Amino acid sequence: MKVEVMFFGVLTELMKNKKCSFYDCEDTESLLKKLYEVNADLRNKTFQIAVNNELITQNKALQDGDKIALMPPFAGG
Amino acid sequence: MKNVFVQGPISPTFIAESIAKHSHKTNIGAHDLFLGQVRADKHQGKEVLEIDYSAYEDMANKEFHLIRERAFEKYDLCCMHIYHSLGSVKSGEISLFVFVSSKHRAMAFDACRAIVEDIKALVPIWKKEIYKDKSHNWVE
Repeated sequence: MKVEVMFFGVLTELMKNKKCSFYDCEDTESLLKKLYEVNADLRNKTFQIAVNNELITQNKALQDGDKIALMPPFAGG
Repeated sequence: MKNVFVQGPISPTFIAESIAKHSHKTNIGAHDLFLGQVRADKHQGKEVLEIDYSAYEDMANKEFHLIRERAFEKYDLCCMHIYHSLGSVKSGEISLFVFVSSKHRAMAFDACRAIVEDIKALVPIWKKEIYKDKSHNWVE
């Protein structure tokens, strides 16, 4: 099972990437754990998570092909 | 779904032409326009030269669409247009253009303000300020 993770704003610099793939994450909690292992500084950042363009506010089960976005506070305009 | 994004700044000519395109819509009695302009702010003593805008475009266009739907439901509008920059916009240039038209001014004023506030709060867009010495800072 493969999911695509996208980083935006300041997180592109922190994670040194705009996107990457993760395997065998059954939910967003387990994905976050893996991301914190990649870069522990991510724990200190404020961000929201969207799964397939929908914001989530609690742990969500993931399916093959899901697109997960890590989004720092918005600053449009 | 409509693409709201334009590459680079929104030109005053484009804005003028957008206004001109409405001259045949004679049910309109009031236009309200909001123009967001890049400020030459100072951050730790360094002046902003330009802002580099980026977005999660798929989700942003979906959010713009929802903002548009909500505004048409709530306010009696004749038409509405939203344009937002991506990429580099220098200080003094326009990065956001919201154009609302209605029969009467009160609706146009109220709708335009609500739309701009929604854009600020709900649309996944980010700003990277770039300074004269080429260093940068993400606006949070």
